Parts: sequence; structure tokens; C-alpha cells
Amino acid sequence: VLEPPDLKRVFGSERERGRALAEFLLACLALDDWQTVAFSRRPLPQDRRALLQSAEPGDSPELKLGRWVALYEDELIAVFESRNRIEHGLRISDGELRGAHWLATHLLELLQPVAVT
Amino acid sequence: VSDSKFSRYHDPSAFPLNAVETVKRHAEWFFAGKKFDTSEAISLLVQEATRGGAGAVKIDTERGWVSITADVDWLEGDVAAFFAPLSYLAGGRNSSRVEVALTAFCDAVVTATSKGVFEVKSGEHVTELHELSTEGRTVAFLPPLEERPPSLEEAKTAQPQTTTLRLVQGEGAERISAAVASFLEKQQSA
Repeated sequence: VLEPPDLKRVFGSERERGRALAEFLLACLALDDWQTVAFSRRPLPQDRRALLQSAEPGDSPELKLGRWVALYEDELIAVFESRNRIEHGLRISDGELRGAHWLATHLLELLQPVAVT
Repeated sequence: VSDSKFSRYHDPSAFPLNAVETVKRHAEWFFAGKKFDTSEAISLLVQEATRGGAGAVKIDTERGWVSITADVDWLEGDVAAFFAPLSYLAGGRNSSRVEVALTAFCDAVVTATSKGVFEVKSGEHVTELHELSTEGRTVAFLPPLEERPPSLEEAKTAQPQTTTLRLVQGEGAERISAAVASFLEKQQSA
């Protein structure tokens, strides 16, 4: 069972917050790449196809990616909104950063089993 | 490009396009002593709020922060006054809202309405700020260190009690919270 993040917990230090911020932005880059590939209507590149090979029998990497984008559209929008606020120089709250980081990491894990560090 | 006829376009000092930077060089536009003065800033903000229709204005000082809360939003939902000198009708001819001076001279500036918190100027101190919520508008600022009132000397050295202090960024936090809940729901039903 997936444990939700504690959105009321503040970061213990600026260093801890900075690490979460860096990981979040890194995860956003990967999410952005996946979304671009999903919307491109071109055949999946081989390296990405390999990552999606765990699809069920009868399923295809393209279908899996298309399903992911459609199913988690709202969550992706929320994550990118937080990223945009950061990129515009706003300091988002600890709760928002913690939630956005958690969400981005888990959205990514659904596609590629490699943890983002 | 120094010998180009266009060279002046590459000299940022030739065109003061950044309003906040310009205000930094002209403290005398707002303050009689030609430097940021906390009391004058408070007085100008109170003046703006009352001219904007406020019936009650509250001034708080805590942990070095100064906050002014009014029962109406004297900026009418627009935070542009934090980024450029803007005149306002009730202030009369040649008036200027003082919010831009806070952005120019203070270490951190935050404002809030019932719609949420807007962080105007970031700083590591912002997380020390109390949750802000108001039906009208609150403007909170952290004056430059040398300008903080003497009564707050003790507060300057106090350890922040992070368990009771937290910045809430209104809609952003709510949106992420809803997205996390939605994600978990989808995972459980999968």
C-alpha cells in the first residue's frame, strides 16, 4: 500500500529542502520528456520502448504510455504547475514541494522502474 | 559590441528598465531620511489601506517581521504595486504606492488575501513566517537588519519554532494535495 506524503511536515533544513527541490526538478525533466514522446505521434524510440517492455501481454509500450498520460493528466498538470512556480522564482511551501516531489517520483516510477536520485 | 552604433542597447545602466532597481537608487522618493525607514513604510501602508476603504488596520511585529492587515484588499487583487511605482486615485496626483519600496529594500516580502499567499520577495526567512490568512489583505515584510525595531533584538536571536510556523502558498499547496489524493485513489482502484 502506497503511503501518502506528510504534507504538513516542514523540511528540517535548507539542505534537505534543496535536495528535494533538485530531485523534483530532475524528475520533472524526465516527466516532460515522457509527455513529449507520448504527444509526438511518432514511433517510440528504442530506449524508451525497452523501458516500457513490462507491459501486459497484448498491451504495447505505446498503449501503456498513452494510458499513463490520459489517466494521470490532472496529476501531471499539478506537478508542472509547481515546477513552473519554482522556475518563476517563487518559493513554494514545504508542503507543496514535498507533495510535488512525491507525486513526480511516483508518476515516473510507473513508467521507468529506476529511482530518481 | 562596444564600437557598434547599437552598443548603448547593451548597457543595462543606459535604460533603467527594472523599476525595483531604480527605486533602490532613489530611496528619497519614499523616505524623508533618504533611506528605508520602517516607521515611515508602516505609516504609508496604513495610509494606503485607509484610503483604499479599510475600516480596521492592524499592525503586528514578530520575529523581525512587520505585518499590516486591513479588512479590505486595498490593492484590489493586483500585486503589480510590488514591482513598480504605481499611483492610485485616492492618493492624489503624483502619488505612489509604497509596496515597491518594500520589494526594493526589505529582505523578504509576502502578501496574502483570502485567495492565498503570494511571495513577493523570497528569502530563507520566509518559512519562519506565521500562516497568513485574511479576509482583506495582509502585507508582511522583513526590514533590512539595521532597520529592524530595537524591541525585536531578542527575536532576531531566537530559534525559529518550525513546528508552529509554516508558509502556506494557497492554491498551489491545495492543488498538489488534491493531486496526491487523486493519484492514491487511482492506485488503489488499479
